[in-house]
Amino acid sequence: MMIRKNILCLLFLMMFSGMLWSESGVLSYLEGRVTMERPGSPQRSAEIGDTLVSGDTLYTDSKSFAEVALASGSTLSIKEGSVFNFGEIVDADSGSGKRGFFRVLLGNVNFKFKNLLHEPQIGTPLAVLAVRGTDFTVYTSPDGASMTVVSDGLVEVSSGDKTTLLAADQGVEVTAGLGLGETFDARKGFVRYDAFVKQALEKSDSDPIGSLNAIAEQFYEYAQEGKFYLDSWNTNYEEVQKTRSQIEIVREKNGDEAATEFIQNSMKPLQLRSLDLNRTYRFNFISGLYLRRYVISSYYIRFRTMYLTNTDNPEWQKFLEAYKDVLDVYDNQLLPFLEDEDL
Amino acid sequence: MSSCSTMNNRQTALAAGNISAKIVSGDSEALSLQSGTPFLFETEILPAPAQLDALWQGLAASGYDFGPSGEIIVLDSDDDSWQRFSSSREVEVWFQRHAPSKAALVVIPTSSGRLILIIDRDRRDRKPLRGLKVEAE
Repeated sequence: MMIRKNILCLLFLMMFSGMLWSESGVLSYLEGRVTMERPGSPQRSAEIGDTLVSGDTLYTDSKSFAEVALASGSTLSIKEGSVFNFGEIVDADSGSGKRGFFRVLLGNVNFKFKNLLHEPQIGTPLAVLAVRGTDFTVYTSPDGASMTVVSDGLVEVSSGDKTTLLAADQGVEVTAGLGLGETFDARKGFVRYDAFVKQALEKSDSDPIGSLNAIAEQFYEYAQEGKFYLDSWNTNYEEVQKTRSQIEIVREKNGDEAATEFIQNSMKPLQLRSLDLNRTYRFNFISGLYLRRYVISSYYIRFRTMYLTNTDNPEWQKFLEAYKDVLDVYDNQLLPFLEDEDL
Repeated sequence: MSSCSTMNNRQTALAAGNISAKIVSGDSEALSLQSGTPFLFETEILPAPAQLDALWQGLAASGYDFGPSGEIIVLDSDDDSWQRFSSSREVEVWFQRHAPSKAALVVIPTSSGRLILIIDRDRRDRKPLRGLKVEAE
């Protein structure tokens, strides 16, 4: 009771300290073993009342469960064996310039949104969901495939250049190589995560090379996109430096008031753009890292253990070749742009 | 090097022997409980407990004979240890950032190769197993 009271107080404080944006939340309940990781810090046991900020990741063990309360009154239920990342992306239309971006990297998470002021986006390794309301579950299998099932409201699911709008009692799958599937009827209680994972793994195991090639393409896209925004950031940085050097000239020529106006009108927009570009290129590189950590690793574990006693098997040799190719793209196109603290 | 909270080579070999026995018997649940994250499995870094469950279950079902076939060798982890696992920068960074400060590399010969375990010598560590590699003969 006391813990719940404290959490309410914390949420209340967050609302009045200007932190009311969808990216902050509080771990309101947990069962079993739940681990939390903040970028640059070691993993640690999570505790009820922990505040989640952008970049934090929660891991639930088997037979474990976590619930996160957002300041808006929304709740996220993170089921066992899941990896959930709490983040944000740039959004020029939002008042804060940011929008929540929550990733279901593994396992399943149920979202119940209330008072959607700035709807967050949800990401899986291969899909992006735009939320129009209010109750839905995202399932992510170890091979990166995802299934979204809506209980109430509308959710738009996109993968590659395809998009579909799901209404209540509808679901859709996204798989590596095949992309967005057909919408299907999915009544609450009739969808099982373990059955979905079994089916998804059977599908990807039947064509692992195709799936790895699709992931290599995704790596390439993240790398290209990230590089584009990094180059833009560098150009903008030069502009910032040039503009900064002009401040004193303006001050000397036209006085303090003119200098303040110059900072406001010329310097500040450049600095804000710099921040946005930085967040966007980092978003792309980190997305590639997550694909590496949660999807490629899972493929490797499955195939390595499957062929551990039979390493001459041609299927293993073919897998190894495709695995090396995909790592080559990652090592050369993405890894150079990641910080040691990311790894 | 040795203190009451740090295992010496003989104690580390004993601890590795216990872990090896669990690998041989396929006790995935116990192994998951003793494994710390992020865990290094050959070229892969596994941050999530769910991935460790999948790894131990996969190894248990692999049919590989993990039974020790000779003397267990304990080595101190050094600046070059990462190269035994991979040539990738991220594995090098894993050794710098995530490997325990008192890490040992334990080499267990098997009938068809070697099992390399990364073990924290710190007795207080409840999850001393931090990495694994299966090397061919």
